[in-house]
Amino acid sequence: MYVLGISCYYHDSAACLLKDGRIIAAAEEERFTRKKHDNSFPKKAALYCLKEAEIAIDKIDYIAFYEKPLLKFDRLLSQYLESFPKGFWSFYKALPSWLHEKLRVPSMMKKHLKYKGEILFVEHHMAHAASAFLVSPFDEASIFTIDGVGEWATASIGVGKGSDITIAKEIVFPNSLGLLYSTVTAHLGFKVNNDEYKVMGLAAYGKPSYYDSLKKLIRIANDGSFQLDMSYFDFHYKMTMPSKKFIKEFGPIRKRESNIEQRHKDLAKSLQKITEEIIFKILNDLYKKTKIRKLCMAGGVALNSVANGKISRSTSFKNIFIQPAASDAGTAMGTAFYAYNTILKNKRKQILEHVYFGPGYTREEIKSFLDFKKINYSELSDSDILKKSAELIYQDNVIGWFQGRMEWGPRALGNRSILANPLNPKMQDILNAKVKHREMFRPFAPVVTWEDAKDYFDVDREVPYMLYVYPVKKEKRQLIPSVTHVDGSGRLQTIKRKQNQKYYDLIKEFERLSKVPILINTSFNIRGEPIVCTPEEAYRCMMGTGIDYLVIDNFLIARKENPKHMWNSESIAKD
Amino acid sequence: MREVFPKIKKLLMKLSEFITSIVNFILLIPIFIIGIGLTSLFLKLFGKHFLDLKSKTKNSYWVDKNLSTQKLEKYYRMF
Ligand SMILES: [Fe+2]
Repeated sequence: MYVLGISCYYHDSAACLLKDGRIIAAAEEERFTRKKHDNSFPKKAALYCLKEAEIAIDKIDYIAFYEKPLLKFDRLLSQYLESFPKGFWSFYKALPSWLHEKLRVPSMMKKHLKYKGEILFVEHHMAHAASAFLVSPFDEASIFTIDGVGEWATASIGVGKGSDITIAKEIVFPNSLGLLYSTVTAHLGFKVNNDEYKVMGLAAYGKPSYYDSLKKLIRIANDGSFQLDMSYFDFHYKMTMPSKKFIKEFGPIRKRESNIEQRHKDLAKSLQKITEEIIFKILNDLYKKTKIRKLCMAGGVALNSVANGKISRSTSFKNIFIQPAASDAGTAMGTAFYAYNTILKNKRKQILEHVYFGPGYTREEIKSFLDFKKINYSELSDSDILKKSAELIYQDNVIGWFQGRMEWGPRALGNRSILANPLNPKMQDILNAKVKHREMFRPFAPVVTWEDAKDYFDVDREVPYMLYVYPVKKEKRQLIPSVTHVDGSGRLQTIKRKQNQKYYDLIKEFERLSKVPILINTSFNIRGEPIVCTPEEAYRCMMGTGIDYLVIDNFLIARKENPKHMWNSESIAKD
Repeated sequence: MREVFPKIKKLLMKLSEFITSIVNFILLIPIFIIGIGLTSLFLKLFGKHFLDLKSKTKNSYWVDKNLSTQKLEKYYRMF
């Protein structure tokens, strides 16, 4: 039986295909359209899934959609009805797309995929819950989902048992921790639904001096549930988020390219403190209710890796599973599993053990691309490519590492990664100058072999998806300065050989040279673009930036040995 | 000519987007005023609120949901 999960029209559109309850393929639409956080119908992602399974659309038994569109439309109309006469511009912007697309999901399936079969609609937070629980290693778990907003819900708690999920309670719009986080993100001059992780990074530099002021915006009950004071917000009827009262309280909105001042850092820190307070209160109360120590989490706020890293210390939950694509992309996977396991009552067969579900390329395909483009390259043996790559990284070169199938979710985890030497204290500057052009307050992340992780980090679990921040051990901070954040933490990835053999072996080769089993791992992309998907995108990215070498499969390509033609990818970089 | 055609096509696309936005604007104003406005004013007269915007202290802001597996037919619905 084939089930195709689809999420779209809000942000991070995606498709995920199951065959008899196991993942065949899953990918975000942005990787194909090259439009970051693309929210359009995921036609290309869905067609890729079909291609991977070598089937036509008529073989699909069910398409599962990630929300109930009419319930969401009901919420939207309620916003306009409540705030009339305000809200016209938002109404004018939103309504045409609702009438053309969002309320006509079956027609869109027909138009884009020529699909005329059964469509199942799953509530949004149920799809989030399923995205974590149904692919977790747990038979039974407490479940917590939290995001900006779905139909009406912005957070939910419940329990998963076997193939069934019960959502016991929810918090509803306009009360939303995700939207509070986004409002502060907008106020700090960052992009909403894109830059929330920058606010989290900035928080490490601040003091929580706005904590009491922020508390005026949000009432928090003892069980962690919360209510926003809507006089500080405009998002229920406007495209902008902070209200005049918000600006009066926290100062003017920062202009995007202007300096980041201490007050910005302090506001970010205060917000992070409140976010953690709410999450831990909710989780502690959830445990009291369920008495189940295993926890599954999903929803955009579950990407807050700083909070995630503290869950086991601050709550009773010791076993935690978070969907790696915790934002709305993950609901394509969640709704597909919910359809197969829960609605159609089939046994659970999939435990997520890696995220390499995207497109991959054979040696022949890569070679013919390189030959066709007349690119200078050398092809090495399996062992030589590892030795050579490790050597190049040890010599402070920046490497584009392109292997196997693309990652599912927002993080590059060793198949579409840029790798560099974490021992060089200047490597953050080098990476920023050559390719990433990040704000200086944002650290780079380390990947470490699992058996060595505890020597370098205060880590208590495997963290293969970069969803948790843990302290770097005090005595090691000097050794790996370029992956140690200002507060002494690192958002690490642990890797076992069975998860990604070549990546693991490369780190071990690097250890042979450096005595340290750690690399810098950052996503392989041009600033402001999605992570590269194809060999051509990887090559273009290298040629337009300062990446020194590209390793695709066993092919080694040096930037210096190739003319800078094709395109200047830096000239189109945006953030 | 090959370079000119895409430019003309782009220009026409922009023009059609502009016309669509004007038509939408003209159509949506009466819908907003009559459909949304009158409904809103009328129901508010009877004390109806569409969103809970009032800040009140409560012991908990959780709302009971109790949603578990339903019959297959329910999932065919868009609501
Ligand atoms: Fe969501």
